[in-house]
Parts: sequence; C-alpha cells; structure tokens
Amino acid sequence: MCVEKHKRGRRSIVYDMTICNLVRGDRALALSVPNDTALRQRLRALGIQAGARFTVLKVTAFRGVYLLRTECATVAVGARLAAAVEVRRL
Amino acid sequence: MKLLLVGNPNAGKSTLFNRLTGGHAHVGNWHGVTVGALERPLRGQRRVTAVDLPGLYSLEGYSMEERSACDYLRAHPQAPAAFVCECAALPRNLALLAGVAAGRRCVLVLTKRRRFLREGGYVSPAGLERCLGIPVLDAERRNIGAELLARLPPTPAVVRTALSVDGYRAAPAKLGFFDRLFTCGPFCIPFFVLLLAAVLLFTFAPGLPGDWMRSAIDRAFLLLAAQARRIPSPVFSGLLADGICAGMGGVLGFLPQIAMLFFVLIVLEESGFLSRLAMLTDGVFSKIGLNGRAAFSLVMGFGCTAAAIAATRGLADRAVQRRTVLCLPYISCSAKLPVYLTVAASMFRRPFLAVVLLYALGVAIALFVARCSAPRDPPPFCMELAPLQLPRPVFVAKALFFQIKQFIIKTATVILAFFLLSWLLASFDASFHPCTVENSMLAALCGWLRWLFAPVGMNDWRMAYAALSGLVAKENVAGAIAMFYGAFPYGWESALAFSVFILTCSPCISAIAAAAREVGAGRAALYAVMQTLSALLACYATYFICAGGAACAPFVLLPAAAVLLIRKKRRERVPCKRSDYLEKVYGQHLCAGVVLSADAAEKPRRPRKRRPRCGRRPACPGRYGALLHDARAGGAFRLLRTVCRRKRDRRR
Repeated sequence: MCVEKHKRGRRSIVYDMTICNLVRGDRALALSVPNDTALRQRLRALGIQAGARFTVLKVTAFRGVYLLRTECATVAVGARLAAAVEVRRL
Repeated sequence: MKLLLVGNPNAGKSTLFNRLTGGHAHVGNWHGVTVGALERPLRGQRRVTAVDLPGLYSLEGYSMEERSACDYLRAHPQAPAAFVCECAALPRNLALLAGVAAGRRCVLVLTKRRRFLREGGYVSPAGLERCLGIPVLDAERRNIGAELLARLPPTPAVVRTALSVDGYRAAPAKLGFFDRLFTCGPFCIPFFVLLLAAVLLFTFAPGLPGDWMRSAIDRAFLLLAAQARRIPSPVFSGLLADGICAGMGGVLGFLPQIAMLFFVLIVLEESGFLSRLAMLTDGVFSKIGLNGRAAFSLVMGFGCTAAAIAATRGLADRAVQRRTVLCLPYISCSAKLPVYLTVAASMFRRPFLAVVLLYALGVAIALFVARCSAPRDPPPFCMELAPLQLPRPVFVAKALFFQIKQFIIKTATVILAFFLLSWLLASFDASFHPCTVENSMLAALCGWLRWLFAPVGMNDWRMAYAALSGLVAKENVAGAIAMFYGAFPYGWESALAFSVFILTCSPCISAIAAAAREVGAGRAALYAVMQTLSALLACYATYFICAGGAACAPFVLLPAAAVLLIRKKRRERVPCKRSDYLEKVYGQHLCAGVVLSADAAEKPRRPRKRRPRCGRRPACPGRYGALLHDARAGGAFRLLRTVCRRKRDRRR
C-alpha cells in the first residue's frame, strides 16, 4: 500500500504501487516480493528484497521488461514479476 | 580429491577451470553458459580433480541448472570449494559464500579485478582476508593453480559476512552510451537482424571472401579427384574420386563459411549482446509461451542444435524447456548451410536471397510452433544483465579454433564413415561385383524409398536416401547429392520443396540425444517422428502450391480456416442421463461462430413446488446436471439443468 502527500499536506487515499507504475529514472523502495522461496532468494541475491532501494534504468516497449539497477546488480524483470513486487516511490 | 568451482553465473568459473586444467569448457559473457558439472584433473596434479559447476545465486536453486549445482554440493559436503566471485558482485555474494563455506574448506577467488579497478572500485585481497576470515586470491595471477591448492585451509572456517573499507569499496554504478544503445529495442533487434543478414551476405554472396575460399577448396578436391582417377585399380580410384573426394569435398568446401558464421556467434556471445537481446525479446516470447532466456538457445541454434538444446537447462520451467526443445530444430543450424547452398545454387544465380529466406522461414515456423504447442503462462522473467565488453581476441580465437576442430573431426569420422559405406553399397552388387548404382546393394536396400519424394517430382530413391541421411548428420545430405549427382538435378519447385523438408525435418542424431537427456527419450523420439512426418507434409504442400500456382492456395488454406472456425468447445460432464434437450443445447454450442441467445437455449423453468417436510422422508441425496460451456456467459461453465438423483433413479 502506498500513500502520497499532496502539496497542502493532505494525504490521499492509499493505493497499491508496483514496479509497473514506475517510469525511467524513478527511485523506489521495495516493500514486498512474491512468496515463492526460490524466486525470493533469487531476487534477494540480485538485490531486490523488502527494504532494498533501486533505480529504474529503462522500460522496454509496451512495458514488457523493466531494467533496474540495485545496489549490486543490473537486473531485468518481466512485466508479470514487476506487477508482483510492491514498491514505494522515493 | 575434488575441488569444486562454485559461484554466480558469469563469474568466470569456466575460464578459471580452463586455466587450471587445460580444458575447453565453453565460455561466454552471458548467464547460463555452463549447464552441467565438468570434471577434469588439474594440470600437474593428477590427484586433484577440478569440477566446474553451473552458476547459482542461492542454495535453493531456481532454474534447473542451479538445482543440479545445489544437488552436487549436497552430494559432496566435504569437498573443498573455490568460491569464484567477480569483484563488483562481492557484497551480494557474502551470504552465498557463508552458505557454501559452512562445513567445508573454502577459498575466495576474485575475478575481473582489472575492470573493477578501472571503473573506480577498490579491492585488496589482504584486507578482505582479514575481514572475511578465509583466504582470498586474485584469479588474474599467473600461478593460480598452485597457489589455490597451497592456500586451502586445513579445516573449515566460519566466514564473516561484513566488509570493511580497507578491503573493499564498490565502484559507482553507471549505464554507458553503448549500454543505453543496446538496451533500446528499436535499435537492438533490427541491428541483430541486419547483422545476421550481413554475415550471410559476406559468407555466401558470389565474389566475396566466403565464396572465394569455398571455390579454392572445391578446386583442390577436383585436382585430387583427377589425380585419383589415374590410379590403375578401378576400385581404389573410384573410392578416392567418387567416394571420398566428391562426398567429403562437398562438405569440407563449406568450412570457411561455417567458420565465419561461428565467428559472429562467438563475438555476440563474448560481447554481452545476448543478454540485451534476451531482455528485449521477453515481451514477444512471453506471448507465445516462451521466456526471454529462450533467446540464448535460439541464437545458439544458428550454430549447433545440440548445444542449443543443452543450453535450455538454464530455463526455470520444464514446460518452457520442452516447448523450446520442440521449436529449436526449425532454427537452421550451420550443418544445414551446405544443403541450402547446394540446392539453392541450382535454383538461383545468387543463392544468398534463397538462404536468407529459408533462415527467416525457419525462425517464423519455430515461433509458430511455440505458439501452437499448448501455451500457458511462462515463469517470471528475472535475469541479471551481463556487462558489455569488447570480445577478447584470445577467447574468440580459442573458441573458433575449437569449433573448426570439432567440424573437421566430425567430417573425418562420422561423415567419412558414412560416405565410405555409401560408396561401397552403391558401387557393388550383392556378390561384391562392381556394378552401376541402379543394380547395387544400396538400390536393393533403398529402392522402395523412391515413393517418398515422388509426389514432389523426385521419383528417385537416391534423393530420398540423401534426405534421410541427414538424420545422421545434416552435412551428409549435401555430400550425398554431390556423390550421386554432382549438382541438384531437379527444377526449382522440387528444390524448394526439398529445402522445406530439410528445414522442418527432425535434427541429427546428436541433437536427438541431447533432447533425450533434457526431456526424456520417449518425448525426444516422439518429437523426432512428428517433425519428420510434418516435414514430409510441408514438403508436399510446398510443391503443390509452387507447381499448382497461387490459385491453389485457397484450397490449402480453406480447410485450415475451417478447422480453426469449427472448434469443439471443452465441456465437463458429471454422470447424467443425456436427454434430447441436452443434446440440442450441446449441439448448438458446438459452432463457435453461431450467436446464441441464452434465453432461447434455456427451457423455461417451472416454479418449484415446496413439499411439506416429512420426518420419514430422507434428505435429498444431491443433484446432478450437465455443466456446459456457455459462449454468452464469457466462456464460463454453467449448470444449465439439474435433476434430483432420486428422480433420475426413479426414471431408470
């Protein structure tokens, strides 16, 4: 769940945000990743885990693949996986 | 003693393995090159065996190759390990290092140090030793083999997973100009297509280096054949001139062109381009049930189908692997090149365009087969991008030399044996007297094959024999045509149909064996039989369209369109006596194109009469009905009519 502040300090209604909502150049904080153990460990090894920060380097045509720069790797994630990782834009 | 080389994919384990053992493990700048454990004794240390394992990110294992590496580690808990890690990826490997080093003697080997220092990072092996608690070596040192064995600790140590500033400082991350260029889809994919087309043009077009070298080799074999015909003994002169020089010359003449194709593929592998191609094609591949990682196998398929099938072990999902193995044979490998050129040379003055069209047709058929083979959602795509780099000349030269050596060995063993046997059977009759081809043992054995290609205007058993010899090795087809005829003897319709057969036929026996290792022998055999039969049908259809003209195309396309339109809807049925009403409803649901009205399909229901509850009356045992697929309800299954079980039994 994500909360955005408006200019006057009022908070908007919470909504879900995933990697799919990000654009090139956005910095984000990962909030949750899929539950599959092996996939979660693979993502952790590549630097995508709850609490990790990353930058969106590129979004391919038709938002098929997202190229992310984590602290330790440059990772390409597909659209389905991107929709399963909840984030907060920094 | 076994020394395990463990680490992330593309860390440099296979390169280190080749240095330690003098081996020729396949190396490349992409993740997933090594798909199985390779064992070889160390140079000068026969008691120690180095084991090159596939790369892994965690001890759980996500893809099949990772799981095989994890299983190997669990099967050898006491074996010492050399953890190979590139300097830039050290922080994320600490957890894996601690897991691998738990209970076993371990040494950390750092790779790609010079590039890391150039990018602004800092690493000190001595400082890292102090903070991690295990020996740390630089892989770029000269005598790494001896040092590695000497520095192995006597007992397992506990690894501390904290880095200090005096041992390590990360390099700033940045995306360079070429990185941005090659991750841009509108540039990268057309670049790849044009590159392949340029390679094919440079290799096959007349008047260019590929054609010169091939002509030079053909002239050399013609001279050898002319000298061989001067031998007094007719048997030996026939064996040398017609068997070896004609057959082998027809295959070895393509060596320079195949070498050029392999050169480009090796450069693509070494440069890191394949990772970007896999990333950009994932969107398209996921629509047809594949995965971006399948791009590695598909590109390798242009070199060798067997190696490409082995590379599918890097996929995470078995279903995607099977689908990739099913469509790989349609990618034209280097062995099919001699056949295309032999056949195309008789059709066109410039065979380059014909070869390019056949390549494009093969890729289109591969993607079509992947789409048709029961697609389901592929597994999530998650891949680390390999760094872009200039291909290292030493590695390119070694890999190219290895491929050329493999080709010559295959020609000198499998293909030579095939041609010797073919010549023997084609030159002698059953009592081993010299005779013509039509009266030979080969004609007696294979004469019945002439019906195979008779519908495409090739009523000759020799063409069928040549086509089926491709199941042993695809190069045999070109050599057999050269041995029997010299050049392809039929018209362009037959040539095109024959090319389509070679394109869509089952791969060679080594590729079938590789498929058997990956998907099972039964499935691999089934794929081979299905592909051969469908290749035959495609061959007939191609000839039918070419000979009959475009006017016949609707007669071929209409039945296919009718099959697609009139589809049987899936339905589930629970046990129920079928009534006339249900037959009528089900029959109406059969045609996909007919618009149904739910009101018209449903019989108006009578209001249910409530009966007074009686203590003696048992509870209703349940209701039965038919679940039918209702097009109007968005394809959902609806219970259209239900019947109480008691009533149904009473009716019976």
